Amino acid sequence: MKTASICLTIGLILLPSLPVLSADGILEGEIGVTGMLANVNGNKAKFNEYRDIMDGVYGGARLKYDTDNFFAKGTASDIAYDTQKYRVEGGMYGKFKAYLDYTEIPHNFTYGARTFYNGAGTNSLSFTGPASGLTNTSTWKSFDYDLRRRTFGGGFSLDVIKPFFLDVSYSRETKTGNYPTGIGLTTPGGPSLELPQHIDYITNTLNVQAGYAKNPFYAGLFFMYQNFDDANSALYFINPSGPAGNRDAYSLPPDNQYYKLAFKGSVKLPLNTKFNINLAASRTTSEANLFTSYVTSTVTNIALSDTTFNGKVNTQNYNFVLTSNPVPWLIGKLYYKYYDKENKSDQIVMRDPGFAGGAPFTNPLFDYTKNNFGVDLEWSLPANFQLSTSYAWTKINRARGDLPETIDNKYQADLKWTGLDFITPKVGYEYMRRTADAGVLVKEYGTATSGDQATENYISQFLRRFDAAPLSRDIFKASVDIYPMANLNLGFAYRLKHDNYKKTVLGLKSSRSHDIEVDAGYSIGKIARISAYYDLERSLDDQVQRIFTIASGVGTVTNDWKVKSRDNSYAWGASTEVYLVPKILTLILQHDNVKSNGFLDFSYLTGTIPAGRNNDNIDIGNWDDYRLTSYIVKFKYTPTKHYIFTAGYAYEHYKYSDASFDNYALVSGTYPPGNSTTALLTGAYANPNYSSNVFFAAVSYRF
Amino acid sequence: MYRKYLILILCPFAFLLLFAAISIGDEKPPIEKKGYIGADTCKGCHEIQYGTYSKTVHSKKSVRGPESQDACETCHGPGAKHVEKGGGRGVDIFDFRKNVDVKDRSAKCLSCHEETRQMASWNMSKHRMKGVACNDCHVVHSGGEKFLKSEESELCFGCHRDIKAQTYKQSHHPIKEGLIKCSSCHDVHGTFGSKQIKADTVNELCYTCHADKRGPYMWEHPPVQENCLTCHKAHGSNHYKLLNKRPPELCQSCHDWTQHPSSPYTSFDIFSSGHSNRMVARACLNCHSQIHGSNGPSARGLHFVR
Repeated sequence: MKTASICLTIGLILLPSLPVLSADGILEGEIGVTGMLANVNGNKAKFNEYRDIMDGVYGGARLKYDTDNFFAKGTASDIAYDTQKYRVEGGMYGKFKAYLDYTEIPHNFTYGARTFYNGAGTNSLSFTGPASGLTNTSTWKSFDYDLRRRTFGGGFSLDVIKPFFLDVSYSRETKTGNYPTGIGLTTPGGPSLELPQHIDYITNTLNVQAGYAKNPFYAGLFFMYQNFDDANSALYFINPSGPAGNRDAYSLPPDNQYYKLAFKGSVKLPLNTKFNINLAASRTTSEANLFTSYVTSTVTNIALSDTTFNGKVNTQNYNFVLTSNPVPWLIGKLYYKYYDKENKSDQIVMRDPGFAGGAPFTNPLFDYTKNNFGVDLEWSLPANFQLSTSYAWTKINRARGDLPETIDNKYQADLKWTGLDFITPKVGYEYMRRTADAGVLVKEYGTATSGDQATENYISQFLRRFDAAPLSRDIFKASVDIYPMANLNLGFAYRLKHDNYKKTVLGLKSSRSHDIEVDAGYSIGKIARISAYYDLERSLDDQVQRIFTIASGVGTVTNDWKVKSRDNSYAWGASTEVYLVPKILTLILQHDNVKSNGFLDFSYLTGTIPAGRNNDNIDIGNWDDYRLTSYIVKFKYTPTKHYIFTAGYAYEHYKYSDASFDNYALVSGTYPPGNSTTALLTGAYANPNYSSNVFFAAVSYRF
Repeated sequence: MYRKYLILILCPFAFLLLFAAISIGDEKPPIEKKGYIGADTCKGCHEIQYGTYSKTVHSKKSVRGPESQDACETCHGPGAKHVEKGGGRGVDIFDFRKNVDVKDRSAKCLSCHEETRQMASWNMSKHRMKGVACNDCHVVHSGGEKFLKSEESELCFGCHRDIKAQTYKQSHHPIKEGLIKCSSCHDVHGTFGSKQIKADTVNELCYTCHADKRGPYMWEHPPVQENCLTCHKAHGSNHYKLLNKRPPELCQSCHDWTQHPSSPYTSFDIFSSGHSNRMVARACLNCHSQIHGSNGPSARGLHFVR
């Protein structure tokens, strides 16, 4: 039905263009069908994560009608499948353009997930019978975790009013499906419960751009409005840890409205200089009805100063950029940016008998301001050297108690040499130093004190949140592109990045990565073209942690421990096009591999080590390990300029191994009683392994 | 407070005044054209090139482009001397080979395209700064979509090899599947944003598709509000949800001072041994799933579990 609606809509859109067809013009296009036979063993959702490959016939078409004054275009692909896409476009050259389009994007996570709840796919989950009977997974119901984005849009632009311009576009996106989410059932440390969150979103977006563009001046006003509408404000469920007949609620993203207005302009100045400005302001609002109770093992009622939360965030962004090319050997860019996020949302005063002894507390509001300026200089030096230098200074002030301010100083230099036609080497270095104000807490509480907040204040001296911790960063880059012969190209690139959080005592202390990329391409006359690539990425992170147990007394260390995370990624492959009969019959062969190998090396440093454990047997050897291998064999036959025949075979194999997902169990631990080992899961992301064989044949007709 | 917004009004106004001052007397005298021979002469030798050109929008007289000016010679310059010398690649004619100065090559295109909204920020573009010419990516005789030399992502990956490798990882935006393009997020012709993104901040860009994450929420997670890239990678990751690292390590990079966030979750906490719900499956996110923000009640929302 939906496909018919789409075809009808497209037909109606094209109808007005029929009179145009009578004019002298050229009609060209392509119509194609592809037959597919797909055999998938294993996880079909992972295989089709962003695809819709199955047994069937896939159709597509492209049409264009072109005259000296008018044009009309239409494209359709994967008709009636989850990846279908349509677009019609038309207009008068130099006068106006208009388009309508429709696209679908699937995102499949897990098929055949299971839950003891009734109502998966709605915002109300319930079960019957005693909670103790929920662990019989044979009675659980099956459902799929998948999302569908369907976007319908259109727009037009006016060129006839040049040097003025006007562009208007609108889109409406619906997003539906189920998404895995979860909750803690009782108090922190209690059992966890995975839930299917029903997604039913609509997002409307309007963009209007109008302005003037004629040398030496450019000025434009930009307006964006986006309205996000969530059909459900909450996911209601019976909490199995709660009293009989309870109704717990999980808050869902609130509806929001976003407005943005911007002025962008530039003016040319003497000495090949241009001054650019961007002045923007935005406002986001949301509204949510707040729950006045929650369920753990009991129902707890909360006293709120207001049962409605009004969210409001304003932002301002100002950019001033001066670019100049005053002499042939220098291009410069000087810039300043100011960004301010101001949170004007409601602060709700809460009294929760189950938290902080019923003392009043409020939601803190987070704001930040960012100032950034810098200069980029590109130098054309003698002997075909090109030097890029840059400096940037960034200061961020946060309304955040522990790390209110960071200042970044970044220096960069790249050197490129183009003295020979057959080789282009490049080297580069970047250094960044981040200083951070460790916050008011350290200043006020320099010694050990007792009590919950005081303890946090004390330990804060040693903790550094990595996103805003003092940091020194070094990046080295080197690459070379070589063309020893006209039909051979080689590329090699290496990059080392090292983040050193020097002042961090507890937390992420360092992060280091090495990237190596190699590729090559070789043409054997008119016989074949061969290409190959290899990519290695190796990252190493160092974290030191401390279990700081309040019950053991302030300042007492129960355990210090550290973990070194290692992640090696590899990608390699080769492809060739063999021109069996030049321009008529081509054989295409392709082989790709992607592989990752993660390792966690734990070490207990101090304190009592639990029985049976030592620093050798606590490590994790498979941490998001996977390998994706694929082969494609394809023949392309073009007997005439009108027909293209394609046929082939594709094989894909995906194997995943991970300590957190291997031996997956829907009921993990013992339930009841609930404790920190218990998890009632649904199978989200579990067992993603698959292998697939796909045979395909296609014919397309061009005219 | 409203003083902050004054800049929004005053700056454009000052800008208009500046423009007015510069524009006065900006009329340039017409340039006398010499040595032009017309497209028919070019076609005599370059029939294939003329044939491809004639199928493109550049050949439309109704467009203010080459055909409405001097056809082939609009871009290649006057051809009289080239003809007199019997032709030959680059002989007294402008061509777009790599050894021709980048600025000269781009200047040909910019003579028309600079006065458009799309190219208004080209002077700020990293590509321009790094010496990328228009015809390094576009080929005007091809007539393909936006005259690109090849399919968009493959074209970008030709130089950005590291990004290509990332998009092949198990968790990725659907770029290799062709459902989104590099240009969905980046404007290669220059923007005010860093990395040439089509927004003033990373979060502003992400929210255009992920509007549910925008909030504003009662309980906010500050790093989330500040920069999505604190926890996520934009192009691809070995870890699900495009995460920089896997929970619990990712979360413990910040949260580790007491109680369960500070505990090591090791081989003794997986499904087959110990099965801690902070380690199995989605680890921390098994309970703290509202990590982007919550309107949940009291400490349930504060800890992002409702």
